[in-house]
Amino acid sequence: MSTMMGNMRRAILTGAVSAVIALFALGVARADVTSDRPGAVLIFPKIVVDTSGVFGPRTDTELQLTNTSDSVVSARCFLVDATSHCSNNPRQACTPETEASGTPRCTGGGVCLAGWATTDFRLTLTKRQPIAWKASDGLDPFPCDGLNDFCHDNQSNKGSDGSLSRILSVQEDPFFGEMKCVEVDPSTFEPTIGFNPANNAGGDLKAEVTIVSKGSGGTVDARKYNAIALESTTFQDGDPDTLVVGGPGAEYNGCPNVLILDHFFDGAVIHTHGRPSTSSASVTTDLTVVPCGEDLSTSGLNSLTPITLQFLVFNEFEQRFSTSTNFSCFREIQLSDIDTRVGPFGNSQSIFSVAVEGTLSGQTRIRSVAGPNSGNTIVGIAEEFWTGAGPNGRFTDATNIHFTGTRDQGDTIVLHPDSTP
Amino acid sequence: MRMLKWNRGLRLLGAAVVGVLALARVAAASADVTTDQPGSIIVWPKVVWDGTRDTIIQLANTGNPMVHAHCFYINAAPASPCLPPSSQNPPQWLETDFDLWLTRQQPTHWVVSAGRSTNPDDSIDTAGFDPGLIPPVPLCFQGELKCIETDDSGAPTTGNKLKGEATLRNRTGDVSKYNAIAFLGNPGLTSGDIGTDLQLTLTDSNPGGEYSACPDRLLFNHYAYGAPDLALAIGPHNIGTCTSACVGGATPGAECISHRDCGKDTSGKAGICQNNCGVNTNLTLVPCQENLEDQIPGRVTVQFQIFNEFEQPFSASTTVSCWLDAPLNTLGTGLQTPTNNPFTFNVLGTVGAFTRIHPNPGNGGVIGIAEETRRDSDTVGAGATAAFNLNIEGNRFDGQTDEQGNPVTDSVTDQIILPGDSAP
Repeated sequence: MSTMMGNMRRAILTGAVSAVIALFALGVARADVTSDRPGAVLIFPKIVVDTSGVFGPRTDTELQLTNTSDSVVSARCFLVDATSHCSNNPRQACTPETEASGTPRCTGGGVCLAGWATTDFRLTLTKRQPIAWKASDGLDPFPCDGLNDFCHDNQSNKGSDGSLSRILSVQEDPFFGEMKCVEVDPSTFEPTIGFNPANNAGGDLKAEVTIVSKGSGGTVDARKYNAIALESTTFQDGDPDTLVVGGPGAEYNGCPNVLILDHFFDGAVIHTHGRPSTSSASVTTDLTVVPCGEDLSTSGLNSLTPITLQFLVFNEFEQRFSTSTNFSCFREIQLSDIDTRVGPFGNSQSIFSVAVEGTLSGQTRIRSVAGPNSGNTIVGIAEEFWTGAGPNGRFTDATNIHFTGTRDQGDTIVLHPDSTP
Repeated sequence: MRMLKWNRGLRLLGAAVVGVLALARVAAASADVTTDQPGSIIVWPKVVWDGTRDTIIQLANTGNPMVHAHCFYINAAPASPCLPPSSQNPPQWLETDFDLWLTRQQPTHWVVSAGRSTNPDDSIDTAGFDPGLIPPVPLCFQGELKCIETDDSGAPTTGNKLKGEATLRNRTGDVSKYNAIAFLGNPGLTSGDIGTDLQLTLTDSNPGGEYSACPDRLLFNHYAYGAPDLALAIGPHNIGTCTSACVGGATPGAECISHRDCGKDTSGKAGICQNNCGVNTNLTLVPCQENLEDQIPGRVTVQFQIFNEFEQPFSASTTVSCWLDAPLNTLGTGLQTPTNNPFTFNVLGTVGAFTRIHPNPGNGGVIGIAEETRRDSDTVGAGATAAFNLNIEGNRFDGQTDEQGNPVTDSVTDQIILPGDSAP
């Protein structure tokens, strides 16, 4: 009897421990996005093309995309054109900053209206294949188009249905916007989990973005960031055109709860190289954010829900400030324009200004406000603009933003039905 | 007696639950080394002050409790630091350490050539709560910076509250920025559990480990060394003045982005795609394993598996001893010259390339960053650099697996051994 009781106790204990372990094994499904591991959805938060130099130095964006797995993979990509245009001249691109300047792009009473239009394409990559292209040209034909050129072992970038891979150029020049790519099964072109068990089948795609500018006098400038990857979970709900990102029934890891940005306060003067005056530079920071969830099946801002962002700012004295703003689909904004008028007016009164904060560096926690039915999560990058006293003027860099936490509520990415043959 | 057994069983259950809960806190966000999230060991793999380039370090406490950190500069400059390394001028491995502390959510920064003083009458340059006395590095410093989160006694702890960035600034004004690499600590451990030998053993499958295990492989997208820059040279919308054109082949003088574009001439000789604005990439790697007590640098032999856009594989290898910072075209050259190194555009033949970096079996892991440099044909000066973080795959502690997930090598345990007096 006592042996039976002992066995029962052991069984209960073993079962309980196993249940706890099993419970948390579910939690082990990675609950974060990443910029340093491959994934099944890639987000490129900022792509800019201005080859004529309308808004500054002539600029183009180079993109690198690689299949990191040992299997053929396909992807469907959605290029989101968030370029603003003048209300009375839809062909005239503008930005809030140009309209706040002394030489606005919209004249004759026109105002600068935000835009949002998507276009999509699909591609197939052979195993371990990297490709590179620039946004103003796209990529067509692919390196191994399957017509004239073939890859190693006679592989090609043709889809299993015979369709050719191609990457569209951006819709217009100048262009400001983002891109999202979703890994899909190379046979069905429906979203899939990754093929590589070495990364827990979280996805096989990785990518980088380089924004290259050419200024007057031969000055070249470049800044680079890693595309942000959402890893797939092992769950798929059977709806190929609606991707559940985080939350209950997540098909992809949820986006972060809070972004954490370390930055110099706008106008901070940094002295390097032993402090000669020629080695000083004034720094400003631009923040670019895009929503994790998005309805890519429709175009037009009316289809988008505005997202409110709350900012908590700490300076080096641990003093805390806060502000907020909102955006709909894509927002690039200089930090000190978040709480003041767009443009230089009022920047020195901003809580992101070094003149207000009194220290050179700060830490800002960025939290999007959840909606009733969605997490309203965001991802983004930061760019620094260093303006020095030297002859070469302005230089830039870019970084991925740190983050922490996830949300109970998920977001959805709605894809345009795959119509590419 | 029965009650005693039952109680013992309950204690075991409780310990298991607490253990798993603690592990789950880590596992929920993955235990991998990361450049996206705060951690307990922060590594800046490339810090330089050579008179031409200087480095600005940013470090922040992302939590509400005060955090302490013990930081180590590791100088890998050669014996005559401002001269190139050679057999007569071997690289050194000199370590300097300092402590700092950050209040709730406090960010701080310093320029490595200047350090940061604890002057209460701060100018705007160093305004803020002084995080501690941070020494300047000597001229011609090149190496890494590593900060380890500690408690107020100086013992390593695992709060996962630190994050960092580094900006490399050239005297020309050019800047290049990357995120520091963070090793997560196991929050279920106390400082007394860790000691001064920090085991990099925390993985999703070993949630009882101390700190994130070192990556098994680094995944590295890059341009072939010397490849034409797409934005500056290629296409009808190019923004530069340089050119990339076929020499010989079927279409001499035609614009090209790969040797294949140039075809073959009538005699069957293939053309070459040449440009005057190549993109060059530098790779920086540091071993995860370091013995700061006995001043023994980590040493890791790594293999490079390189793929071009035609999925053609190439390979190379090199040894990372303490710190490696080298242009791609000098890696694993051996008897080859830099012009026919497998990373070069001359050999790869396509603009895009993908390299998997994996240590030899039995070796520890490495972490690193890369920096690209671009120039146009009329660029004066050093050109434009852009740094970026590398992707990771797998970990050394769980061992290497094949494509089916089957283990092919044994597990390797990297560890960082701190000087004994760093945790009084």
